[in-house]
Amino acid sequence: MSPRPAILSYTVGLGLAILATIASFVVSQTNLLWAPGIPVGLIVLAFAQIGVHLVFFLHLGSGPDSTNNILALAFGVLIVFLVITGSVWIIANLNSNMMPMPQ
Amino acid sequence: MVWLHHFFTMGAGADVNAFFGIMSSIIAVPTGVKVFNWLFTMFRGRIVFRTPMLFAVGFIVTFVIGGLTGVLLAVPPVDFVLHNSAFLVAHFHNVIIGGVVFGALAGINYWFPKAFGFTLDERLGKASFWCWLIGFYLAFMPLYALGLMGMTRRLQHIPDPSWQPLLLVAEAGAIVIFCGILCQIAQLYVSIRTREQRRDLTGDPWNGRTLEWSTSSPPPAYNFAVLPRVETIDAFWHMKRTGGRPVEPAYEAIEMPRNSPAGFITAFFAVVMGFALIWHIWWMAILGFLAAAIAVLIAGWSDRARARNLGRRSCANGTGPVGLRQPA
Amino acid sequence: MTIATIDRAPTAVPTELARGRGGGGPASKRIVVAYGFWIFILSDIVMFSALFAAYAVLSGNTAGGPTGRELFDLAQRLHRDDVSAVVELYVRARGVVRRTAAAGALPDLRSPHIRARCGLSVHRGLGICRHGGEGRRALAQRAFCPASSLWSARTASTSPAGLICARSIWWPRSIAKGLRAAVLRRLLCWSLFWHALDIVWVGVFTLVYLMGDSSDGRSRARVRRPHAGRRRA
Repeated sequence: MSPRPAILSYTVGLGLAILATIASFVVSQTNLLWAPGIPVGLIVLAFAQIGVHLVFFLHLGSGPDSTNNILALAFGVLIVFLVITGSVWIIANLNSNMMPMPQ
Repeated sequence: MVWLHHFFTMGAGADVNAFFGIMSSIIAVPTGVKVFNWLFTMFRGRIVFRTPMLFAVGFIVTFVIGGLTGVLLAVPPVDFVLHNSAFLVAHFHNVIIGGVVFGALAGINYWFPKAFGFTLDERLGKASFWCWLIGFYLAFMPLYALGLMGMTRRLQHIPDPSWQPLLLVAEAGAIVIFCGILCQIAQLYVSIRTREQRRDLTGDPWNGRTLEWSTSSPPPAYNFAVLPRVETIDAFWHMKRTGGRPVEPAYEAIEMPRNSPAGFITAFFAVVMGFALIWHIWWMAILGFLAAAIAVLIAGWSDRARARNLGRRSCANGTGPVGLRQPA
Repeated sequence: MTIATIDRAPTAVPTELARGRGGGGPASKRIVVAYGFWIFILSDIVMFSALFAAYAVLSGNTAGGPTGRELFDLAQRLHRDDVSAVVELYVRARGVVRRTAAAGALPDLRSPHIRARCGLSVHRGLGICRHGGEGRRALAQRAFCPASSLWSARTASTSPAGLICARSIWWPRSIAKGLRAAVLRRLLCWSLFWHALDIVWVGVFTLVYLMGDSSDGRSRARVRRPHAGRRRA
């Protein structure tokens, strides 16, 4: 079956996604990356993986039809960012004010 | 981004409290913009003070006052003193009654004819508004003073006799609010009893400006037989001013979803599953989940059962579709 | 539910030209439906972010139970059960193939693509089994500590994703009814949903499994343990 542009997009996306998955396994299981940098590496790879999904599978590109979708995505990202970082910051702050537990 | 102002006294550090205190104060700015929006919407209009308008103006005034005391409480050190005091009680009732209750009552009075097909009694509506407004201020303004005098919430006795005069004023206010609620119940009763005389036959009891008033009361299930062509704000007002029919529209079949109990059944079993999960009744949880899943599956299976075609229909009470109205 | 007719006055602009510039009436139904579904998916992702946040703040509160390192020992699992890494990759592949076929609108039920889809749907079962297997193994190791917030948060994050995987058993329905227009539309919506869920799964897997198990998890576990309050020393 001759590959059409749509299928090409999926194939490329699949390849990149597999690459990113293998890379994240490598980063977390081996000593390739400097140890304190592992969480950062994993997060970067996760974002790359999500980007691949958005562009190649969900077709969130730069066409005029996607503008509304990208705006909605930007808003969603803002909310997710506020929820996660806000929760982590506030609870960490509260935890640091807790009394020490008896050993 | 302001929610922690409900949480100031719960042990967060100064930086967290300061951040949310600042955000709560900042949020008063766009709120003020909204208030000016509403005022300028009314400015130079020909205001008719029927019940919905009375409640709307009452909402603006009361909500602003409540918001002002809210900005006072947004300062964390002040909140540490006033948390769980009568001042706080007065503030949140101020914004809730002013904001939510008056706004809701305005909406109910305004759209009741559209939803149910007959108008509400105007005299009783006005009486209920005045009782609510006067009663609210009598009931809750003393509480601001009492809060600053040290009275807390959730008391089962009065520790300081000097509070008593203000508390009596507040009690009087509560009774006046109760009279307002009685007026509303009476309004409903009287209006339902005389509903045949109150039938809204034109669909437009308020001489409205927006498109919902161009439908019948109540509107048909498909709302508009012809999708209105909107060129300006207040499209219906524009249509009224520029005259009646421009062009004979071409009708097409309207596809509406079929009535189905699937949603109710799914929700019922989801409740069963939720209850069972809380109390660790595993067999009930599994059964509830399966039943809900099967309900969804069955509901989604048949394509034929999902749509019904209406074809050409005119509105129930004789008003034609949009575009065919004659000017009032 | 279709939108009622737009009156055919001469000044009406054809909708294909009206993209994003405010004039000419509503966009085509495909675009409108996709936008609505996308907003629904985003709201789902916001809900998952709340679960993530719960995991992020609770992952240290093991109350003396097993830490992330011990629960998610990937190396041990890989040696014992190579399928987990393979399943990871198949999660990508099956979604891709389904989307491909939906985009290609292949009407022939005997086509190799659809056969591949059916074949890969078996691997969904592996996803469910993996969750179940983890639970059984953890129970066997007495790792299921009711007070462990780590466990609660992990389960709360991954179980919804697993449940959504399990919904894929409704696959045979599409095959039975053939690729009619209505089924195709639902397939498109489903594939949108699947890819979005995949994005969530990337986040869950990275945060919960990979980070919980990474080689610096050992040092984090050492730091966390004194604060967790070992009441059952």
